[in-house]
Amino acid sequence: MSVTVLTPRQYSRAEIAKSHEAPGRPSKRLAGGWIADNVGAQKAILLCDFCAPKFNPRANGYEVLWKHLPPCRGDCLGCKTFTVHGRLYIPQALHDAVAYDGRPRRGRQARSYA
Amino acid sequence: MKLAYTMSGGGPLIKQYFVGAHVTTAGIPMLQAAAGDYGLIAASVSGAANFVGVSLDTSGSGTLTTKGNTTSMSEGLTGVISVILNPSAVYKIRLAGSATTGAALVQTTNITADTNALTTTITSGDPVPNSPEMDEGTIVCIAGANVGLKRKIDSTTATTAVVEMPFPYTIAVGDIFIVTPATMFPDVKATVQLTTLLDEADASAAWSGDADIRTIGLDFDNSSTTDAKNNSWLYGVFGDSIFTN
Repeated sequence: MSVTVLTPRQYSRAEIAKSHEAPGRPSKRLAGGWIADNVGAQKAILLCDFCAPKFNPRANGYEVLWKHLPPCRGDCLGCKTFTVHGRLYIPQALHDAVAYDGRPRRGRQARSYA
Repeated sequence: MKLAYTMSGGGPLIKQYFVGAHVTTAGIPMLQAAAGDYGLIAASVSGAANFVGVSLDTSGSGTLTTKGNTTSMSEGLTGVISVILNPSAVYKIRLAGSATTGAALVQTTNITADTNALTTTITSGDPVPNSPEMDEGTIVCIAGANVGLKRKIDSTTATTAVVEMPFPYTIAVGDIFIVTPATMFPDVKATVQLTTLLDEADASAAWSGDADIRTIGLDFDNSSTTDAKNNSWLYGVFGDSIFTN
């Protein structure tokens, strides 16, 4: 008679983290309303290059983040598709906390970078 | 802390996660919760094990449920936080002079000239180089003939800091330096102690057995002594990412 042995699966740390992902926009919500809710909650907003033109960051007190980097990747907040040409917007109030201001160019001895 | 660039050259990968406890500060390291707990949690000042990414916003202030509250869409965003996931991301972290975010670095004024350009002798009242221990850290000249130059500290006493490689010019009386535990050679020290709010590096403490952050570079603004004390940064990558170990 065959014997079936059940062993607990060993989940990797990455798999455990994936179980904590937020589901994103509910399927019955319109994109505009969901993004408006995110704006109200002052969340970072990632939009694909199709949804980005429909969002006015300045009117909502937001700004584009990381103009010096390649496009962001992730799930678009509007259409829920995974984009590799995403644009991330943050509330202007969070500029000092997360925005990279670069290294200003000054005189020969003005900055020492190792 | 801010994303400067990724070592892979690729764009940032962003995901939204639930948190296990509310996060009220943006730009802080987020970790995987302990076994049996749910969601991401903020790092501690001396620990960043099981690093997931750096947060981009805050999680709100409502009541957290196990999987977030989805009955109301506005409440459905409570407990949700956006995180940068790239394990090779290099973050720009400000060097603070204490555990308080925004604190200026404390200067050290040399009181004894050294023509060998190896030894900096502190003035009474300056930070003591060996308490907390700054050996293997970095000393940078912000005023004097060696302005803008930095060296690795080879040894310390209660009144001196000796560098491994001499400065090109004599260390004169009155030259001003900043001594930090940040090292340019992360093989010796691969830890950083964070400030209370977790968004900056506490350069007033000895870094030993703290958050696993590997230094890629140090950036000191030598435009003036004031700028050097308020606008100096560490570029680091987190060493214990859940996506690489």
